[in-house]
Amino acid sequence: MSQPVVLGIGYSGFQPSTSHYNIREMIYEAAAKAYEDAGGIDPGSDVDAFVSCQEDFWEGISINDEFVPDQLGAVLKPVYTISGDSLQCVLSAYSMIRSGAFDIVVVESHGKPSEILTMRDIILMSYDPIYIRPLNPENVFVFNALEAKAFMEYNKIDREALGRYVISSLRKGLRGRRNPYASIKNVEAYLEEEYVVEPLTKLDFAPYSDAAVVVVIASEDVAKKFSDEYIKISGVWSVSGTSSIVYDDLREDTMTKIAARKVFDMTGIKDPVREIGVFEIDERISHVPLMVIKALRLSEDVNRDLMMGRFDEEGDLPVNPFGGALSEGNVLEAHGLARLVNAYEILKGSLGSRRYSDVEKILIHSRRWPSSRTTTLAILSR
Amino acid sequence: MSYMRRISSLDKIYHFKTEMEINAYHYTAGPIGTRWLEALKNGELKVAKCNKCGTRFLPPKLYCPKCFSEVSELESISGEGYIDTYSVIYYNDSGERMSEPVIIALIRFEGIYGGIIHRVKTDPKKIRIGMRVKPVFRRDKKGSIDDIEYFQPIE
Repeated sequence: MSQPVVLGIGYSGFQPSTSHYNIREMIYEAAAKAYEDAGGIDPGSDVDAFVSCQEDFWEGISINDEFVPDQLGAVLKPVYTISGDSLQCVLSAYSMIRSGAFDIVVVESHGKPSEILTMRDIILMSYDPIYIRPLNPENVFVFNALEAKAFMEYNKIDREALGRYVISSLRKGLRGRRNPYASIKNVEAYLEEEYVVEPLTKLDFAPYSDAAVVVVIASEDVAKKFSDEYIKISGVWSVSGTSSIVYDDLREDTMTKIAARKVFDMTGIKDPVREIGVFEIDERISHVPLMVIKALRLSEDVNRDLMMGRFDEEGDLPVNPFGGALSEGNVLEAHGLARLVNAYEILKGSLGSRRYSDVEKILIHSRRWPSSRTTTLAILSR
Repeated sequence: MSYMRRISSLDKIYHFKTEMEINAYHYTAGPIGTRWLEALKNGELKVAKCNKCGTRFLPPKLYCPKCFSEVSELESISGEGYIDTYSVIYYNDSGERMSEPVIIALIRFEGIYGGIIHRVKTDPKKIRIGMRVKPVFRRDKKGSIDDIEYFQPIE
């Protein structure tokens, strides 16, 4: 079967607001860069299909798939739209390449939250209209806080440790390329923040960013015709949960546990602590990466390991070493591709120092934001 | 991109503000959901019961979340439950500080799969996971989850 590889990437934005370009123009910019990075492919003659991850409500346009083809050069081609995080699109493209029916598939995702004026209403509409939404809570992120509370209490993770994660991640972001919110803060400043929705403060939520990301995925055999500089997608898997969060055990991340079992099996990984060099994990709400660390069995005592700096850039389990969503911002469905771009650049050696020059495998995690627990994991390797 | 070089002033880019008139739907509770809501209207908390695997669960659905069988039965429960997890809202979505913090909790019931997310009325300093609570129903009930005004601690 064909080995899927990332042949090229391109992006636009990663900034708090974008007044000069509309989202389709941002996608065009990202696509043009990705096609060039992929060795100068022509979307009309070289690309077999396109997959876009998006959500109509974020767009302000219903049946938005009609608006996907033009800016990608995808008119008169097969175009698939998925209402989900962009790593779910990577799973689709991976499967299409593995099937042998497609040689080159372009994945696209984007978010322009700066144009959304009623974010609260859209998020509230994502909850069950009969059993949850009538509560009309004063802050819609209270549902995420329920999970944070359950996880932190059960695993004895204190506020200082959570603050340690947030502050470390914001500082790591200073070394990244797409991080408008990276900053130097100390844990004392975190601890002085008031709760917004206990146990979370405003620093625990990634602010919003505008971005479009395009990734060219190809079979290895075909990729070689365009470039020698590609990165393998060794495995990818996705797990969806129930729409009723009350059916879930909020103390643990069952979706990541299941997806990890599958993706480790696909890639032959026996010991993720030893075999995976970097972890690019969704941190749009700060407790989530800690749940993922636990679910991946990277740590028996997350609180202790946070305080020891095991997940820092010089630690033995670096998580988001060039900043994650807390620094780059929440780019909605494009988040999974943002993680993939970091992993791609680290493995190619274009992002980072010699510290990561011997990293062979990177794990990418994304979870659909904010109300879904649908989780996708991927392993990228040299 | 090359087009950027032609922009001399950002205010030359037009922006259009519009409103989407989409906030009106009829949501169907379905046959078992309707019976559950009618029970609430009568001040009674019920759970769905799967005839095949025996799972009792909340919120009710026409299909069992454990074994996927069709479900048609409801059973009454006392309504006394416990707090599985909770949060206290101190700031609303607009970033304004609440005059009174609001507690939202996931309430579970012994032997029942699932639970209810609802408001809890108590001192935020006293709330804790495991606290036992019971529902307080409104006087004027309409057949909605909101017929429970809040849960309160059991003394």
